Amino acid sequence: MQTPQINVDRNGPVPTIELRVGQAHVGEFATYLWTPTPTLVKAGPTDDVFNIGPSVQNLHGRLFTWNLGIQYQADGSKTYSATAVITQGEGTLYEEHYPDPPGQPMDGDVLIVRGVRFHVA
Amino acid sequence: MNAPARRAIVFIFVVLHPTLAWAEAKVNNESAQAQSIDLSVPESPAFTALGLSPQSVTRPASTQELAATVLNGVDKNGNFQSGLALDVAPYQLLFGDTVSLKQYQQGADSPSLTRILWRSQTSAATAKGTNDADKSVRLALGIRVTPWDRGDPRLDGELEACLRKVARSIVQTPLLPESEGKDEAERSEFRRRINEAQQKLRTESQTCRDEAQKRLWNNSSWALGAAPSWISTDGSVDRMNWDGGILWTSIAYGFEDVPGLQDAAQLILHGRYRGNEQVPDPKNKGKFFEQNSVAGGARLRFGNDKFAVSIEALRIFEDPVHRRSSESTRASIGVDIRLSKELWLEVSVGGEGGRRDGNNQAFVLGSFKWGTTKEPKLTITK
Repeated sequence: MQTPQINVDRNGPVPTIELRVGQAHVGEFATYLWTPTPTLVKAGPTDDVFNIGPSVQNLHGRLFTWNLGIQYQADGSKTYSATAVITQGEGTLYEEHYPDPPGQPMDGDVLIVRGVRFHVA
Repeated sequence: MNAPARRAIVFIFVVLHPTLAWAEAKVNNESAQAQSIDLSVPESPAFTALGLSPQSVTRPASTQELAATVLNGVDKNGNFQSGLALDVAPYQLLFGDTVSLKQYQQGADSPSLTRILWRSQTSAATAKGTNDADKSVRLALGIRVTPWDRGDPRLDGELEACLRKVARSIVQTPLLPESEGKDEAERSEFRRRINEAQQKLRTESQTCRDEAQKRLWNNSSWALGAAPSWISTDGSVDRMNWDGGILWTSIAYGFEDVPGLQDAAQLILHGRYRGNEQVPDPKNKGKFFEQNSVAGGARLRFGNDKFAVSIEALRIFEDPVHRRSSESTRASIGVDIRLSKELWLEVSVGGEGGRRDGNNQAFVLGSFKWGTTKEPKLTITK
């Protein structure tokens, strides 16, 4: 599987990412833009929506990754649920749901590491 | 067994021995937990109503799995399949994916419908007749609701802070996703690094949860449970008849803000009603009679990581149809003492008194049990 490439409108606003964790679990994230060394974009508790980088032009060809930690508070948590959605203005550029397929049991705390590569045109 | 362990056993026996004089005492080394009186609202009331301890319980993680389990409970001819044991938190299953921790915690100081629904647990169970000739099937449905829980780990700020601190230290280390690998070897290496970080997250998070469990085990809460049941004499769905039910309630007080006791003691008050229970008739083998009963009791537990004491009592009023009603009291005292890192001594004394038998004679029964175990039974379990 290759890193997904997503098209970004060079005349549109700066894309945003929304990271959400359901099932009332603890969610903590960190996001990076790679050049190729990683620069922290934002880190903190879910749920959050924020801009990816300062400008659209700056994103072309760059890898953007998110590390998402999902922790349960008590034994007996049966499943988990999280989403990552990248949008530009009103349009959704990319969407991922975890776990995939949904409904998989949670056999411990989860660390998700995913990314996309931007193509600005 | 080492010398301190032997001395502890002798000490306990000497201390408790005088209390046995009042009873017809039996001494054995079965699990001391056998003495314990159950004063909690069962996690799965339907199983308790049918007297089941199912080996395999279905806990569906998706609505599809729930539907399949329910459909499998009845065959194509409309007959119940015995052996159904289903346990599900419906709100978590149906809406849990959309509930964030922040939403769950809103208005943490007051009751919240979200939290009440979240903690509600439903169960269903079926059991077949006692022998091959008996085609009857019993069905029970159960619900357990916790309207108030000061020990809810999702509301514990210390636990959340601990988990977030662990997570931050891990997610703030940049990792390349597996998809960035140029070939299988590099993808495998990226996967290994992610798995290693995930394992660290799991290990360190577990320490947070263990600490929280020690802090929260005794916190105040209120739980309610109900389990109506039905019986079908031929096992078919359309011949179901009411077979009674059980109601439970337990209120726990955790001595919050009481220095010395806040993480060390818990008082539980418990009440239950059982209606239309079919009880085996001791005078007519194979026959049953109908009975209603009410019970009320209390348990006090206190201790630390070296010892724990549990004192419990239950008053029971039984009202059989067309028979003389009776009242009785069950009581027990249990002690866990840590002998070494992985060796606990369990001792319990229990008895039942005041019950009147068929000759209308009051009698008293008691027993003394002791044993050793790797895990303490009386401490830090909710």
